[in-house]
Amino acid sequence: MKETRLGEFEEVLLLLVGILGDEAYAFKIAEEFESQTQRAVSIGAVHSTLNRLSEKGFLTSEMGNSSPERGGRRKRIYTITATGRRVLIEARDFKTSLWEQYPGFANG
Amino acid sequence: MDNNNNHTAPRLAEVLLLWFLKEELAEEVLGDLEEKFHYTAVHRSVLRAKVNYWYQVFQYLRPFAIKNYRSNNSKLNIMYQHNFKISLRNILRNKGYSLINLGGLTVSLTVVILIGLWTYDELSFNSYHSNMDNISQVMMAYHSPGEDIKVGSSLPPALGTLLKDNYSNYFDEVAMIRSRPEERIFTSDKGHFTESGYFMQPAGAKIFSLNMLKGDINGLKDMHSILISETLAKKLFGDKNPLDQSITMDGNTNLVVAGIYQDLPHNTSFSNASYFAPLDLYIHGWSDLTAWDNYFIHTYVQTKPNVKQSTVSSLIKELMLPHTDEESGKRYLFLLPMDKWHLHSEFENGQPVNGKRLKFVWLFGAAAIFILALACINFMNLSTAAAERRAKEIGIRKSLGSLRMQLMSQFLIESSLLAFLSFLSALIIATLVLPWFNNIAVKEITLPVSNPWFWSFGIGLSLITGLLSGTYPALYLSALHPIKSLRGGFNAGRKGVLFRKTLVIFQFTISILLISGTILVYQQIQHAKDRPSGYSKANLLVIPKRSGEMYGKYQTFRTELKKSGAVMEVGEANYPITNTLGNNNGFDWDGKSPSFDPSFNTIVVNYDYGKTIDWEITEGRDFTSDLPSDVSKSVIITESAKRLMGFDKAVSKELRFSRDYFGGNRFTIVGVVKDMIKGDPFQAPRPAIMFLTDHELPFMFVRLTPELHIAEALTRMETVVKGIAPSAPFNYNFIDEEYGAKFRAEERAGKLVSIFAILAIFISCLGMFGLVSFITEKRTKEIGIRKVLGASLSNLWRTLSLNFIYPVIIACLIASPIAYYIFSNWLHSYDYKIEISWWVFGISGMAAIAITIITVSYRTIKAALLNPIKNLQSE
Repeated sequence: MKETRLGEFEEVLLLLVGILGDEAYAFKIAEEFESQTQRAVSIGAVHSTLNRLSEKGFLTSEMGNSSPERGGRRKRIYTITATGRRVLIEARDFKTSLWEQYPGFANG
Repeated sequence: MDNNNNHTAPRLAEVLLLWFLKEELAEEVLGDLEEKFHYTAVHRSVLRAKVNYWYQVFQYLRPFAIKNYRSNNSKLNIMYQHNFKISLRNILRNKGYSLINLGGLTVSLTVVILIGLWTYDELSFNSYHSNMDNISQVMMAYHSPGEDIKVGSSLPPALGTLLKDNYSNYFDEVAMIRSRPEERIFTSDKGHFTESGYFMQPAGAKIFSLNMLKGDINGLKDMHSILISETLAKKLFGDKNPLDQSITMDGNTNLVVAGIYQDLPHNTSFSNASYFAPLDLYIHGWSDLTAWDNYFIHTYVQTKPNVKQSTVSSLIKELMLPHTDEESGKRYLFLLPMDKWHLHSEFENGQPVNGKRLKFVWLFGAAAIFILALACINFMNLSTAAAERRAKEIGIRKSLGSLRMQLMSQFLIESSLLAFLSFLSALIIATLVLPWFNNIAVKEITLPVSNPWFWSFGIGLSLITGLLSGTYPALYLSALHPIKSLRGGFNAGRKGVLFRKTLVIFQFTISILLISGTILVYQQIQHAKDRPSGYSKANLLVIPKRSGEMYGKYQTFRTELKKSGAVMEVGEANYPITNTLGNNNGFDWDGKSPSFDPSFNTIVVNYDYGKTIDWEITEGRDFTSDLPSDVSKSVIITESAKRLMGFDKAVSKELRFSRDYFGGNRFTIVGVVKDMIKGDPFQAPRPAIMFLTDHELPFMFVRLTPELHIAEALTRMETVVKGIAPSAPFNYNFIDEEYGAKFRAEERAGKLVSIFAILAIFISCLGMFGLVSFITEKRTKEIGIRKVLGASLSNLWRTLSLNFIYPVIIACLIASPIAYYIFSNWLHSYDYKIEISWWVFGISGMAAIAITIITVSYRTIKAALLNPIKNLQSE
């Protein structure tokens, strides 16, 4: 298995997959990323990262249904795995613990 | 979305994407991109959508998405490194075979490098002149009735003047040059120097873009000026500044050095010119630039950049017609562009033909390629014969999943590595033998190490050699069946053996061709050398009278020289005896058909000429001073002239001549002599007519007393000459040396062909040796068992050797008719030639067979002598 730490981009994508649920495929994720972060991203970049997250075992995917605007082609729907969920929680907890040690913000 | 629905994503981008994208990703990616496209088209604009589509496609150029990008776990870099290492190990492990391959390839690549340089030198002839593309020489075709069309370059001076005056909108420059180099003696305070150069009009310096180191390119405008080469300037003045210095030509003309030009390189037409003097000076006092009736000029033109040479050719074609006699035939002019001067300047019946030089370029080029092929064949044969040794390696590689392409690349790397190593050693050898090669080929070639083209050519050459020798083994070895090769007892199969035999036959065919070629070339040279020349060459000298001081003293010279005891006889003629200068037509005799007007070699001699050169009278008598009536009345002709005139008995027949160059128009033939070989000793003799004069003539011939030692005779002769003409520059040439020079080109070809032959047989035998060693090694056990069972040495030798000898016999049978065809074609260009006899091929074949038997026997006898116990012990 490859490296299991999450990069920032990877973390966001993982979260977006969770948010989008049944609609989590490369194009939708890229759109959602752009609208949520106001940062441009290419589908290729998103796809590549999704692929990497799958190799790490944080995501699984299967082919979903097709739609006319895709020229009748099916989409690959990504789903977060248990490991994926765990690293997300770990990442959040780690950051929270850091925040708690931060003096000025310690009490909110 | 609805009204934009007809817009489709850019087709080309889609094609590009599908080209590099992994197939399994195609559906989802195309779908995503199309969705994005429609989304952008609706919310933004169609153009933006299209641009964005392209952007998205390029964004998919990522490792995870690209086809075959590390599709499996093999690391290509490591694999190639490994291939390289295995190749090196293989080369080092089989030292013997590698040496044979390396040796053969090195030798043949050396030949290819040298011949390549030589060919380049020939093809780049005259490229030193920066106006090369626009320079042409004016040539003339003689259409004489009843004869083949002849092409010549000697023209009357008036033609050049006409071209210069009336055709200036076609030509940048026109220059006339004396048609052949003139040997002159130059005197400065450093001494006398005999130099050869040209008399030329001033524009010539510009046409040929002489690189003036000092002085003016128009320096020849003054009649008493001269341009000299850098080398001559060094000789005449040492380190002094030669410009505006005065030198003396032939002891009587003072000239001022108007310029010094960089020596013309050896691969230019005028490379032999160590000076250029004004043409005006040459013709001063006896001709002028408007003469139409004297042909002694070469005319060169530089056409304007936009003018086609063929256009000018058709324009000037008929310019000579008004100035020539219609009856003696029409003369048409044309331009010969400079790039054709060297290799394409031979004509047969008016049509350009492949000349001797061009034939040599083809011949040597072909020989070099064949020799390279021989070495490549060695590589092929040895590596396929050795397939068994590597069968296991191949089997293992294949079962581990090596693709056939990967195996092939392994073998190709091996052969390319070997070829490259050979190229490097060939370069070193070429550098070492270049001086020797230049000496044989009469060239001044250097290795163009600073020329990037040379290096790219060299690397290309080693790659091609690697591919040429590696492809077949690579195909052959990579096709081996893994199970069969791993099980052992693998047999190379009859197909491989047959193929190897065919290649061996090819090698020896080439070798035998070259051996018989060598024999034939040397036979032909010897044949021409043994040809009776019609005069006696030994101890005969010619002294050109180059100074006015030597004239008017013939009788004194003659008596004094004879009195000195060093000289038997002295005579004179108006031309040297080793060339065929001086030709005339316009003769008439009884029984001649009116349309027949052959040209004769016409020379003027004095009474003593015949005795001096020792010609052989076959009919009639020699000229004699007892009969003063002979002068300007009697002629002696050669046998071929007699045949041409159709006389049974020539003596006392009358000969009429249309002009009075020879002191009259009517002559009586008083004698016939054997043909004298003055020109090309390989061609038919020129029919000649000798006229008698009592004037003094420019060439003095001296026959030395054979009893006296040459050095002693020469000293005595020089004392006498210096005594009579003290300040005249004095030099002499031996006739037998000048005659020998006529064979240089053929001797050179002979030498090169013999070198090729030796190399070819060497490389072929090297390969043969490798094959034999390999096979005997493989059959060691068999030999042991045979010996134990009582086979004799000769038995074993026969079993092992015959297989190798019979391909050579087949090669003999193939080579003989091919050699006969090629060399009878070659001999076709000579008039005086040998008959090809079949024993030549017999001898070449026997030689090849003998060498093969020696090579093969060395290995087979060694193997047969081995102790059988040792043979059988090893397991």
